[in-house]
Amino acid sequence: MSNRNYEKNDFNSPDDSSDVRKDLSRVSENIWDIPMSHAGGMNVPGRIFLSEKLLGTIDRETINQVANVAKLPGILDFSMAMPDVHMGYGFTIGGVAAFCPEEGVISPGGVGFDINCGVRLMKTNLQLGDVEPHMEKLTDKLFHTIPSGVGSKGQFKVTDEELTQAFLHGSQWAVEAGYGIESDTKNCESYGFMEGGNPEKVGTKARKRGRPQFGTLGSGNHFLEIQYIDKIYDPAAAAAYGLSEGQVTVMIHCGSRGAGHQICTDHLQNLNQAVKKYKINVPDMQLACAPAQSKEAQDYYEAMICGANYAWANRQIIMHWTREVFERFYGKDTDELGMELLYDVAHNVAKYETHTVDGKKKDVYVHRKGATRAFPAGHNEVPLQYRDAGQPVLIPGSMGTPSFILKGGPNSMSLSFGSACHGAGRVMGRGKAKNNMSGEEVKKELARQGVTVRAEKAEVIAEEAPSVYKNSDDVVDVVDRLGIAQKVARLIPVGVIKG
Amino acid sequence: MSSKAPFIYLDHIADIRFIARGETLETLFENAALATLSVIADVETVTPEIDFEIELETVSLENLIVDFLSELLFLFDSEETMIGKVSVSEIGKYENEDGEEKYVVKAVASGEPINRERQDFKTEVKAVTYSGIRVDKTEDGYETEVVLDL
Repeated sequence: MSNRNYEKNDFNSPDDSSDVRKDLSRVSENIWDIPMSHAGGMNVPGRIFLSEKLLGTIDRETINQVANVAKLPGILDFSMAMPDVHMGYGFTIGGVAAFCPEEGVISPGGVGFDINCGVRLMKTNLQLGDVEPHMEKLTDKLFHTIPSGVGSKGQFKVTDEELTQAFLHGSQWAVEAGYGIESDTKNCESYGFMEGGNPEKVGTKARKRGRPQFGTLGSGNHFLEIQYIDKIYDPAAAAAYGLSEGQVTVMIHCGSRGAGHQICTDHLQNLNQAVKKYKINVPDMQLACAPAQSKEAQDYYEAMICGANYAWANRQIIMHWTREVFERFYGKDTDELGMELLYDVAHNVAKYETHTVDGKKKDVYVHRKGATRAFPAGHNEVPLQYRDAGQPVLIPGSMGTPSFILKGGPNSMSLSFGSACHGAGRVMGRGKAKNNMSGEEVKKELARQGVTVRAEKAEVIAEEAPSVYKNSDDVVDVVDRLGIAQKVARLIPVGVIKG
Repeated sequence: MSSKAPFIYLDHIADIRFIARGETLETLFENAALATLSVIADVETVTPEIDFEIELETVSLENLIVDFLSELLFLFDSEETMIGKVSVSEIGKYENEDGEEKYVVKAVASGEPINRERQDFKTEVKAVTYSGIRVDKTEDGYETEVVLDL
């Protein structure tokens, strides 16, 4: 239905695109393995889900990072990477690694500093024509309502007790505190919070950083985007999700802010000592870890859950304020505007989940660092209303490129510990992006394509320009073809708020 | 890298990697601090009117520099203060009662309350990573390499 020609960005290879093919062994069309002979000490092979087309986006450092994770004790099956993979710090961004609770480890590096960085998608019953003429005004109002950018503060400071409740109950706390409606927690990964958080394992510093930042987007790649559905691939799943062509949606991408960053920083200090105590040989200090059952690992895990819950509450509050802007703008309430949460997924988190390993059911710690859960139809952790279709998987594109709604596919449990990609994946560093183009030029080009962008700084627009990312279509095609997560609908951006 | 440059940035696909150097460990730490703070904002725009004393202790120089730079990020969020100047008075090493080597940093970080009108903010630094971290002795002083998570 789209009359808009969004432009596919030109492909940019990273600097070190020298032949990585010889490091990989092709298993099937979209599966490439890094054999254990790649580096000494690998306990399992590496496995990258990748198409021939995306092969040029992979550099040797990324492959080495996937191989490094394979050296951690008790890793199961493969050290995996999704098609949006790129070099990170310690783990790659786009990595999935599952560990046995008896011989394996828990590593904060496999989650990252931005604990439960994730994405939520809110539906509306508006059509493209209802928002398109007002995009300047609407993005302005959202930009002024939702704090974003460096040094931004929330509209309120929570009390210590409220912070504790948020650490324990995530979105459920936020909804009970008045920032949302009952259905919000039903339409969310693990109902908007992870059980087992222990606020006593969160240090004073993390509390201090987290208190003033509730309801803030942050900066960098975080965003709030107004989009519309231009294509439905799977009418049955789209019907189950309540999606139709032309429908306007709002996507929110952010995480646990300073609270999560500090939780990770504090526990990395402990785990850096733990590797010596437990005599674990880690190839990079950022892979610091401890045996899954040890006090050090469990302390981190319980604190990480608090960080994850903070992030769910944060996205909930931002969605609530978004609703208020739309309500005032259109003079209608949330119900009348159909502003219902479709789903909310974490893409930086570790979870204790049941999987089949060597033909037997086993509880394992799955680390997803820049990877999304993608549970298939029938899985008991998919909310009832979506269980026949499969879990909604939300894949944000970059600023000018499409985002996708997928459904957890039938092969995700056997291929990737129930995981899929999380976005487009960078191919160009920020410094280079800023040197190559100006934020104003990128903003103009996006305007030409029908995308209104509001950002605190023009540089951020250049750093996050569509051409610094892989094509989201190419990335999504890989997981779709593998049956890890399958395409349901495509979303085209019309308005973007950047930090 | 020019022998004069206190720090340089190297491209990293998602984050920022920098190399800082100094004739002494104290200047090395000061320059690493400036490299980190300059990612967030133009430090020249910051008036150093509030002082924070920093005293940290850990088990290696690598851990010490990560802890030290992390402390500056903590001050930014928790004290809502942009640090523009850092003076390191001492980087020390001693052996504690258990015979363990300890490294210590003593410094003063000075800045002013966050003011988005006045300070030229660039981007947020989420954290200081341990990825590929090194602190090395060179011919004419010290050099460190750090990756910041953006």
